[in-house]
Amino acid sequence: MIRLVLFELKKIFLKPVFVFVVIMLLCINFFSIYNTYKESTYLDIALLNSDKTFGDVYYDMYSDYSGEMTLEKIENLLLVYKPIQSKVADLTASSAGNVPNTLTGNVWSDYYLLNWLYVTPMEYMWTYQSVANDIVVSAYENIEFYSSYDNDYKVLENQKIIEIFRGRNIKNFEYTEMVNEYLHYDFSALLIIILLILAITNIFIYEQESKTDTIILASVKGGTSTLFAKIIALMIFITSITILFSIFDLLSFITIYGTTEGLLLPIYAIRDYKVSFFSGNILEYAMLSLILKIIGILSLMSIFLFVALSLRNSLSVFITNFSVSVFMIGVGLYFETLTGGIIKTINPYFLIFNKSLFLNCEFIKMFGTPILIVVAGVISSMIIGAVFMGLTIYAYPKNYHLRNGKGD
Amino acid sequence: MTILFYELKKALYYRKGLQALICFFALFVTTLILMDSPVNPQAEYYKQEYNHYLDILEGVSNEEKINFLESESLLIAQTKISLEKLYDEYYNGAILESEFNEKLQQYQDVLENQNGFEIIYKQFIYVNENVDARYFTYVNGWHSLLTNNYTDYILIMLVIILVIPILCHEYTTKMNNITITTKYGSNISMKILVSTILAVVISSLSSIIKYLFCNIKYGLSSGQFPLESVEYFANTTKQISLIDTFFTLSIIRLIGFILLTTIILFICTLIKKTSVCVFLSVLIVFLPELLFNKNIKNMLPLPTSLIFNSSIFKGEQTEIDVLTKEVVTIFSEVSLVQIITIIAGSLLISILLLLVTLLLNKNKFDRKYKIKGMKALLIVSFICLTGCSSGDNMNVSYNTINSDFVENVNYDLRINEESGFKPVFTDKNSTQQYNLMSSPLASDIRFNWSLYADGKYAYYVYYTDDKSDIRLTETQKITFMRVDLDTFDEMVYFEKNLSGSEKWDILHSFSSFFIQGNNLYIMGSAMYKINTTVSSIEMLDINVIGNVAFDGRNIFYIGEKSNLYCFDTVTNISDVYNDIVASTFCLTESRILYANRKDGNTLYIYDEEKNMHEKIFDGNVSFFTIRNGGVQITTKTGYYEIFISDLG
Repeated sequence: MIRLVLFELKKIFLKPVFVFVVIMLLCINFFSIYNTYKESTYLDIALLNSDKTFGDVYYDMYSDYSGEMTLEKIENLLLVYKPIQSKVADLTASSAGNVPNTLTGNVWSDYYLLNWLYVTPMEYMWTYQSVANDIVVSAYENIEFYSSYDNDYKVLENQKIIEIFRGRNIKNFEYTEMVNEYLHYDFSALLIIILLILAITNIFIYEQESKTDTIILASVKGGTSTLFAKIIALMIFITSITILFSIFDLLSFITIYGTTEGLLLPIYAIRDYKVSFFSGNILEYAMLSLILKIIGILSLMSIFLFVALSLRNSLSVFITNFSVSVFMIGVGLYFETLTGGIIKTINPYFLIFNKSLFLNCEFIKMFGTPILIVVAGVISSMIIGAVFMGLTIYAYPKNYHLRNGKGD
Repeated sequence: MTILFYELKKALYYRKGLQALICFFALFVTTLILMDSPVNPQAEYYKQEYNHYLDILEGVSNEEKINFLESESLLIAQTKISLEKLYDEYYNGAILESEFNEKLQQYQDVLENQNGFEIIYKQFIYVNENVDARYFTYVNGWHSLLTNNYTDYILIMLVIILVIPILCHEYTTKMNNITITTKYGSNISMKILVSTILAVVISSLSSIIKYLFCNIKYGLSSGQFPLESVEYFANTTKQISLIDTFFTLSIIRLIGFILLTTIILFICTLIKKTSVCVFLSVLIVFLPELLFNKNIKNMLPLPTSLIFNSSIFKGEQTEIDVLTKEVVTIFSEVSLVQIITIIAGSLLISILLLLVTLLLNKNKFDRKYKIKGMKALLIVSFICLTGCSSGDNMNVSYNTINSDFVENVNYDLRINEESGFKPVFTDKNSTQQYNLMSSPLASDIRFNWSLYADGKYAYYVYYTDDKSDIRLTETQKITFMRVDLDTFDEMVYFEKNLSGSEKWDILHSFSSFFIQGNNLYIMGSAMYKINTTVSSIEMLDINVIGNVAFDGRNIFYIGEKSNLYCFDTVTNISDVYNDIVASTFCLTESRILYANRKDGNTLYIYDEEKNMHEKIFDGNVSFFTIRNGGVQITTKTGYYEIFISDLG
């Protein structure tokens, strides 16, 4: 069996076409991350009449304000910021460059630099504790309210919210642009799906098209053992590809931004993830996100496998799998910002492109108890995966010849 | 020639290409019908009124037309005031009925097309910025025809499906080796010709279908007008007419399809494996879409930049940067030289690829091929849209003048100004106040100041803002939330993304709403009915002048001549109460209170069962509401509150 699996793996990994495609997609991924950096960063903005950028000025001040937030640091920052703010308050400040006694050469860019990169994010982080506290307080009020109306489900839901949000606070101020973009980046998941589609056609369809499968069926290890070997090989392949792309994403972000700052901040230190159900730091997020991605992609794999073995023609398999992916992604994109409920649970899209699950703390009612969408999603993905896998194995031709020979 | 026909027959008949062609074109037409929405929906809602003005103004703008618009605008404004006066005079008994009717007819004739006037006036503002290049014309059709490209993805898939097997199947089955010995085996030019013919047919057929579709749906008149008449192409420097643009874009699109075909053929020759070929072809089509922005794409000779070509003729688009206060170009216009370069480049690439393809293919042999009957494939999609079943007719009496306040024997709901305009719920037994929105996690939201309740459920509305970009806040979505008033379970009743779609513009601001089962009624600039199951919008054919009320089935409103009307939502028939002439009114469960215009805006109560009108307040009422069982009246001289024992 192990030899069969190894042989199937060799068939996928050592094909020049495949190696070429994986390398090409990695390059595309890198290019796309670079694009994200170019489009989103403020540090790259050039100063007026100068060859310096926002980034140079930003990092000059960085050591003064980064690290653990203290009242002293905040007062120091406001000491710099307040005069600048009052200068631009009436909107008549000059926009000329090279003005002496400014940080960047111009009062406006001083204002925006401090506002966008220091004051606003720091204000958010400093006040987050009270935001979380407000959530807990209003959840307690809700428990009291719903208890008086005998709504047990809502009481449970609010209890869970208290559990999640109690004691949340942010201690350190760090540079967050990189982690913000990293959290929002999910293009690589699309490339993984593309590779999955290609791998499936590679493993099963060639043999079917060249009618080798009939011959293999007659061999001792034909039929079910071959199928299992193929499925295990495919699982190993797609899992390693997913891990490869995830690590590649993180490393590319670190290389392109040139910093590892922010990776140890809790995920809710990023404004969009204010009410995220997850309380760990960004590295922990990366791990969890990877596990969810693998579960999602494996469940998608079993759907694709079922399609592949039902159609047995590479063109139609490709088109069908492609259409299934497009449909799944389309529905997923549409519901990404909406309250999804059941759709977010059963669509593997939300596990594969899982950033939207981390954006909020949505519950779904199952057997009268509130369950986090992400947990429900994992359960339903496993069920979907198991059902389609079962169908595939059931529909795959058995080695009857051999069985009869054994005298079953 | 025989070979050509044989190849065609193989592609279309034996490989079931014809069926694919028909299927995909059916899909193409269906998508067109389902997804196409007009750029200016108001012009569709008030087509007749708009056309009235368009007939007069169509074409180039001149002094005469400007004067006409200005005078018409003045006339409409004055007539509105005169009409108001006329009603006052008539209901105060200052003029006779015959005189009233005569003047009324006269005024109504003027105001007949005022909705159309508002639309044409907006267009006039656009046209006036550049009189020479912008003409008055009906833009919805042209906009749809020239800019909506999304359906072309379907056609690209069709080309991939039809073209790839033409070469690839021979490679997969290793037939190409056998053909070496045959007489015509070394010539694949016929295969290339067939592929090109298919691409040309698909491209031109789709252009024709799209033209016909837009012509039937919107009408495509005055094609000789300049391109800039359509707002999408504002600031373009190209002096070209609308119809010529369509022909040019169609030809560029055709070249795009030919380029796509040659690239596919080339890949097939190189790779020789169907699945990898499909994969690479799809990558070539979709990756540039994902990776490049429009500015870069328009510079490259890619099949997609030629197929999705509406931006080629677009004018420059600029924005002022908040940081440097400089003008930043978001979209730079593609110059004529660039267009020609791209087209020439594409053609050159096509020819080169074809030559290489021809060289690489020496021998081919034809074989009858039959696709195995596809096994039936059943993929159950569990995806279903949220919606709710229509409940029984509740005993509702909802008034838009009370849209921030709903009450019943047990509770009242209101928008509380003190707590930052949040909807709050007060239990009348315990007199405790709670927030109607219980979720502690809501952030970045704004409430719409209207509520609706039908006894079992209460509904409130909020907008969620997208604040992820520090520089600008955008309204992301609107949510209609339903709260069960027994258990206080919350459920999303209706939710829509508002960013990036013109279809739901009416939801950006509206004064009140009410709900009947799956139908959501929105009172904005007109009364709209939204079916929440299929997400369709319909404008109700009723002319609302004053406030509106709803009793669970009928919509009551003040319409023409200040009469009270009743619109049945099931039969879609409007009925008039001839004896009620009101400036405002309020519906209770069994009565109607109204400020009677016939009697100096004094407050009357009407009992429908007894058919009896009774005066309950003598004074010129400018506004009144019903709160906590009493009637709160505001007049020009003061504020009164009266209690009526049996408001019902």
